[in-house]
Amino acid sequence: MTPDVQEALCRYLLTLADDELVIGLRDAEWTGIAPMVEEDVAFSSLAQDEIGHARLCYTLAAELTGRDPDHLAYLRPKAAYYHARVLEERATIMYDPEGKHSGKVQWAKAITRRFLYDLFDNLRLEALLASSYEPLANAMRKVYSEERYHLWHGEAWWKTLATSSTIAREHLETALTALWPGILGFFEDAPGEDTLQSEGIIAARTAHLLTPWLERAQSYFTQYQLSLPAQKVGENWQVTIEPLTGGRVGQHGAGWDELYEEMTMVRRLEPEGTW
Amino acid sequence: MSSMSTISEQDVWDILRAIPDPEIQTINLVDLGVIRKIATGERIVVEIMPTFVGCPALEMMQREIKAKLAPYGEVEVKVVYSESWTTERITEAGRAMLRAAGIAPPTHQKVSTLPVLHRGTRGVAQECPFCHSQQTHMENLFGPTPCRAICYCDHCHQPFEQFKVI
Repeated sequence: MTPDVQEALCRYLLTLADDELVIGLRDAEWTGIAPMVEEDVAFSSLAQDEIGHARLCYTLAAELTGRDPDHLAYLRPKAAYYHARVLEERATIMYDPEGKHSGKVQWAKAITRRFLYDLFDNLRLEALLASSYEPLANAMRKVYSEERYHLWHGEAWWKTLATSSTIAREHLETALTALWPGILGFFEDAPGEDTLQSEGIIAARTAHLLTPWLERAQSYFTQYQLSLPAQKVGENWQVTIEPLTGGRVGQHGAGWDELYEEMTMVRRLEPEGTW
Repeated sequence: MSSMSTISEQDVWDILRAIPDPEIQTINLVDLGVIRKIATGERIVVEIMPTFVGCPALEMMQREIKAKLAPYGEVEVKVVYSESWTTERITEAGRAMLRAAGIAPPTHQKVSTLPVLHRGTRGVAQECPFCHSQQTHMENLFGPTPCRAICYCDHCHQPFEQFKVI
């Protein structure tokens, strides 16, 4: 592997891992406060799966660079994380010891983000199953089989929000309006993806997953008379909203400031500590 | 230090068959099907396949294998993904061990061809581990560990855990 391919692959693996870590940490916040006990269990398990997938991707990146997977996960500078920005946003209340709690409970936001992310993540995984980099193909085949359960979970909630009551549907529509720019931000390439594609390491660049994603998402939207922020003109889709990008090059918002602070707090106290 | 291990491959299988899964104590690592390959010689090399990627039991398994084999030489435990663990690797004896823990064993299916599973989907488990009725339904796709779902028996009205097909 030439140095530029290795650099691009490492960056791609970190991007994958960061997406999974960040949605995993945000979804873990529902443990104990989800609207029903089944969802306490489900979100805890979903989060555990995603953090596990992140760990696997950090391990693959660590094998390429000789670095420690835990260092990659916890000790990079704040602007060297490459997840899509929408994943870092809080959907739960932030508790404050002084009593100045902020934010609000946004279950529909958490569900909508998770489901639309899973549709994206499944397509991305499909583009890696036949990777010419065998350790990646092997690992992602395993991850892909687990993700099937995530999709089933998301589909059921999608239907519930869209059809169970007027209020649920309103919450879904509000969440969609707020999330769209960030959802479209999933489809931002990591630097070097063209190199990875020509090497056969990835079958499709992230930007090229938008069309198949819209095709796949369309059925879930039309089924419940929901609209996508995109129109099909002939064979091509035209997106009508400006995507929220920058995540893939380390640009993030207030949600990341807060999450980064929290997730690295213990590590920063004792960087070389072992458990 | 490099000396030959003092144990046969068969003996290693027997030792690993005595190590219980950290989360489901009635089943052992061999019958769970997570041990892919064993080599003895200069070192003892054990290849282990994760059940679910995020399962914290994997690290405990590695530690336990190392500890139990340490008296017989240098030990390496390799986590491999070149072949994926699936629930079809659980042995018949292992399936009985799951039942003994009150967990319905996975059905003989592949995850890629499973029908859609939602809350309320009927007939997900082969039978209720308590009353053996086939009248069951899915209650939650997720359970106390990544590998388990929660089902409900419509006959004896007991919730029970099912090992997920993967």
